[in-house]
Amino acid sequence: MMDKTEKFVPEKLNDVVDEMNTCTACATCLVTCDVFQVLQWDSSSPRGRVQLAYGLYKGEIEPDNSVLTRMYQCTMCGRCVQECPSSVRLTDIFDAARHDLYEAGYRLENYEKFSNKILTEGNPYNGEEPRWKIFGREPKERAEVAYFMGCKIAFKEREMGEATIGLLEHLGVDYTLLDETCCGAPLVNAGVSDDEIRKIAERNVEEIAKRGVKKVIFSCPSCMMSFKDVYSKFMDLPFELQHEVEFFQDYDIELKHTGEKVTYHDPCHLGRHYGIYDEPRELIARIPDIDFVEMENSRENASCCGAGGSMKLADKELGVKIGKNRVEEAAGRTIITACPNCKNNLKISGRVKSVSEILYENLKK
Amino acid sequence: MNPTIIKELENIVGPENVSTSEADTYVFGFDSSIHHHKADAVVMPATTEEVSAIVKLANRHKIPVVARGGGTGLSGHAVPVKGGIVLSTRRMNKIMEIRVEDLYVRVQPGIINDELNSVLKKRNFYFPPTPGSGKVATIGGMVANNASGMRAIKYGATRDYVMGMEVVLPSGEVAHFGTRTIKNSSGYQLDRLIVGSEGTLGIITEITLRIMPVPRNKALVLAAFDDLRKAGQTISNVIAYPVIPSAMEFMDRTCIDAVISAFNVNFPHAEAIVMIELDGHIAEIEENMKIIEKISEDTGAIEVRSSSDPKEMDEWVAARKAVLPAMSAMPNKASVALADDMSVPISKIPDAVVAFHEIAEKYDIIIATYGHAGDGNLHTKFLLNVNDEGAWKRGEKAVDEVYDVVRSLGGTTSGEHGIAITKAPYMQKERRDALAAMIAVKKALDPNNIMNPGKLFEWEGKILSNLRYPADVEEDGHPAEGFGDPVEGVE
Repeated sequence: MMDKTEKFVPEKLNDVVDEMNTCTACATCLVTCDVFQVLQWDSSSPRGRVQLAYGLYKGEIEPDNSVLTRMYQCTMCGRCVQECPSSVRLTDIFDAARHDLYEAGYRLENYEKFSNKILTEGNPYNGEEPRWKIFGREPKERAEVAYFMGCKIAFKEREMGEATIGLLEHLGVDYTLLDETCCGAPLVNAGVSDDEIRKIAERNVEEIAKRGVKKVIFSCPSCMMSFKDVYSKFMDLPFELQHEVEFFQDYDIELKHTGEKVTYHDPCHLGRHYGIYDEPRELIARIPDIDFVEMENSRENASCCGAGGSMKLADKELGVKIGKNRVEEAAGRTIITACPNCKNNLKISGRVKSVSEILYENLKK
Repeated sequence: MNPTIIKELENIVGPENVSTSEADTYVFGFDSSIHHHKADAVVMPATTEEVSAIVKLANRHKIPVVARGGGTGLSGHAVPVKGGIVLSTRRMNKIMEIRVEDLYVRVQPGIINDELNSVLKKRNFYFPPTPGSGKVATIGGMVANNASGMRAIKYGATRDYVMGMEVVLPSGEVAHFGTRTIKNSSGYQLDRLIVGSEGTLGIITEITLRIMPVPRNKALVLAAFDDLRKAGQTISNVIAYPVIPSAMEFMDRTCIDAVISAFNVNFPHAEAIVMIELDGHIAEIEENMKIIEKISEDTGAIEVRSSSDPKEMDEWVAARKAVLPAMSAMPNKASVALADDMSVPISKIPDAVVAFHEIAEKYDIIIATYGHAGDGNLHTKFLLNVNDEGAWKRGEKAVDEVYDVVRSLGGTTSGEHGIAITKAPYMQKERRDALAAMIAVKKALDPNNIMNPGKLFEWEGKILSNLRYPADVEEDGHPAEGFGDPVEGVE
């Protein structure tokens, strides 16, 4: 934790007081919380985090390292919000608490380093080359479609990007890559101020809008969420937003046979957040003879991959453990998913491909 | 807390299972009640030996020990009002032995009710008490509170299933009460004493529970009424017939509206709903279903529905179980646990419900009433603007009057949630001539008063104390002093 720079003053927490009061502490959220199921300390449960947020709001606790760690040991998967019988918007409470902590200078070191890198370098992974250059495709001046690939694809999961680009080109889509900067999702997770995130939003939106783009497609549900839920608070977006699994649905894709045994992991931000459950499954089912079986916990009940909410910055071991539990559910099948963050964490313990990858490798060319 | 004591705790359970952090001591100071008080330390033992060592240490230094299961108590049982050690049973969650041929299961206290039942179900058995919080409530917590739920009318409460238990007494000694046999007339039934003792007499480390075969068939009848008394009368008429259903649940309009709004459940809009569950053989269920439908109609039901479709029944039961949190979703109001589980003789249900509604009107608050009406156990939930000190004060006066009514009807303060803090003054009024005996038992077993101090007969004054809500209501409620006050070793 950084040195205490200011006394903690609730700001956004003031806006969620009713939410905190509405929580009856019934503990329903403990049952489905992947973090709590691993750690087993009540303070690591959604209910516990609401109580910590409340303690901060009331000035009853010091925002020390233990409080910070618990507040960030959360994948923001949204399962607790879905399950809450009192309809408490728990993740709004966590967002508010993180924001107020960060603003007051109470920061976990990893989050601060990661955020500062994004703010100064445009990505958190020491990436120096522009993303279009990595993939050898210069941005077009005008295009119908823009592919916003996000930092994870550009610097960590390039095969996913290559598959998406390969599919776009195979299908003859008039698309362009972008001179993009980080979407800002990790900054939101850290609690960085709206002013900083607005600057990022303005830069990315301008970069896309100047190319006359009608539709932006994403491989990363969290990038899409930044545009849909965060940027839209600051400005009207002059283009449509789609995840690639929605986009590719509209195309006839000729695919060859594979008998691969697969299952599908629902990314929290794609499934639970936007209700996109059928589209990826429909695309997978187009592959002739593919051997598809659902995991025990799927769709609305899907567990998190363990990497959501930038949680591994707070507790890497916890994120890996949650990912391992998810991989065990796949029982040896290849996990197909539709998010580079999910792929990145699940592949630590299992075999993982994106929807775009399995489509691309089975293209009849 | 004294660092040497923390070191000793770490030596007993391992440093990863002890915490004195700001986050943990604050959060383990809450349960599902209206109260809060920070703990000094949290420990998570895994074995009886570890519990015994912790208790011996605490007793030596006169440090309070507060047992905590799922943390779903509604009256402040797990709130460490005098600080000290919160002992979480989360790691003690094993099933030690299942013996269907002997009709028992032996478990550690931290196993969760629904998890135990999902294992037993594979053998076609179950542990019948079903609290609304069964997904999170632990068996240890259920035993310590004598919890029950909606099936008590036919299957009784947790008390009726406890055959025996292992307890770490306040001295740290391990004692075995009860047996593993169906019958037992061997001396004092001390296992029964521990049931419902709310962690004030020792820490339960193992429980032998009687189990029952899962009923083969189930059906539900749902009767809606435009008048509370007619709903209450239907309950009495069914029992007097006699038909003893496996559950008879009651909900008033506030509850019905809340669950319809929260879950879009297909319940009729009415003043009251009575939901009756039948189980057993199909022929018997069908016969009783017809009897209940006729009684409901004759008593003035405006709508009667029946179902034996598992999906529909699950939906109805889930909606009923979620009344409490669903009500908290109402705008500008939070559902708070005040006066929440009184029991009255079954025939007095209509009188009680009508009186509660009159009290609510008098004090300009919302009291939602629902519960296991078939066994006389009602739940009232107060819906308050929790930021408003005035609302709390009016609520408190209403609680006083609610319990005056309960006592005048021959009822009792708590049917299944226990007393702890929120109901302590009312139990003290109700059990005036039993208090001396309770205190004598407590002093004999726990002379240093380390086990969950400050609860039950030890709580003095009012109930709006140590509130976890924003309104600072000045009250004189507090744990009684001079009861062997355990402070040594606690900073």
